[in-house]
Amino acid sequence: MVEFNQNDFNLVKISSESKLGNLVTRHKYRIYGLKQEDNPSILIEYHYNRVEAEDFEERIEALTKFLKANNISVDVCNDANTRGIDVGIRRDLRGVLNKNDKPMFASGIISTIIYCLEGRVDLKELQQYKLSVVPRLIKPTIRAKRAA
Amino acid sequence: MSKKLIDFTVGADPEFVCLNDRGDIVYACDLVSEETGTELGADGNHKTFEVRPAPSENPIKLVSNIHDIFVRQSFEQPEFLNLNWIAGSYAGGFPLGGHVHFGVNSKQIDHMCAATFLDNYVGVVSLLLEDNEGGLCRRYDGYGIPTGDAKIRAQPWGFEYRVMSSWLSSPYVSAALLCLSKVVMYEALNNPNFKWHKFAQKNFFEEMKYDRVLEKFPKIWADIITMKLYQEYKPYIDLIYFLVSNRLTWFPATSMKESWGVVNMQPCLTNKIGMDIIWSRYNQITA
Repeated sequence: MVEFNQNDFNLVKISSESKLGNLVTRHKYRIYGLKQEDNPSILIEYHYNRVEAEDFEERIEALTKFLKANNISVDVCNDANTRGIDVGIRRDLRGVLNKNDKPMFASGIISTIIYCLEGRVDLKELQQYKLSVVPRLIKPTIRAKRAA
Repeated sequence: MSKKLIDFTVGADPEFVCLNDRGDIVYACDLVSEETGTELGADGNHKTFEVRPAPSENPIKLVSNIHDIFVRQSFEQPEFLNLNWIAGSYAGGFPLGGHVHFGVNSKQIDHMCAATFLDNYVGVVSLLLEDNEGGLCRRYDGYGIPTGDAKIRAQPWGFEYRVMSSWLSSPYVSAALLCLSKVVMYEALNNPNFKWHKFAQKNFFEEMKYDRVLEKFPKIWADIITMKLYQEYKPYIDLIYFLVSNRLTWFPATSMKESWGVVNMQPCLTNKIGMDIIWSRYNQITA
């Protein structure tokens, strides 16, 4: 169950490219837009009491390492007041288009996050994987703020 | 200046029962919580299950929310998959309701008046989809009659329309009746010029007078298709016309569980996927 916020920039297209609409998942995901200013490229929020999976923290750690190794900034908040897992994607990351004008980068990032947190990606493979091209994203200056 | 259109949320708490492989009823309170806040819980009688999806302005989203609850429940308690789920009017000795919730306040429309519109276009149509024997049993127990507490219950968020039996037998029937409910209520709120007709009579419900309602169906349908929101939900609502025209009930040929697509999904949760597959489309184009 992956829900994309329909009102945020490019998320409808990203949702359609990611093919995650009918994915069967253990957790409930909400993907929404983070505004540009002062935010990391990705903000993952959940509540440690409400997410039940043995190795969840290990997966979050591996995911964070993977993103940082590919120069994508990420913040994780594990005591958020949310029922499922909220994933905020910053505007510039949502705006990266390939030469066919498709947001395949954001789509790949969201798929990686969800498959990883669902325990469907091998953690060793994740940590060793290098993206062929990583677009240059703006570095955040201060801690994340939520915004639509 | 044109009057602002009123939109509203639709919710529901339809019921069903579960039978084991010997055909005995499995008490809901033995499997799920009896607290009211849970998304799948036990009804007040402790025996029937009640689904409590999040409401939505879009009735199709409501159906999707119900599906999500079934899927989540089956992950969390796989034993659900071994049971036979049954909706409809009456099963395992218990009447089953398909209450629909409307997020409209009494300043927007008088609730009893709104419920009467629903009786004439939703309640009577749902009668045509019920099985006669089950329908009679439910009415014998005092439920599903368009009067008093059996018809409507005021709630802090609006009101609950309680006449329909449980339409939960398949997502298609659920979508059809929830969309029809939305269409009729939208018309009641936003079209003061609509010419309402009275099709529902108390004894049609009490005595399950299928033939009397069937006689009126062409006129009921003729009114429905002129309602403002009908075109938007036509693909879903037209199932009702098909079922009634072919004298079919709301029970699908397959089981309720299968019609909702709730099967053992463990492989979907555990099958591994490689990073190359996730990133193949991105890599192909950027390489």
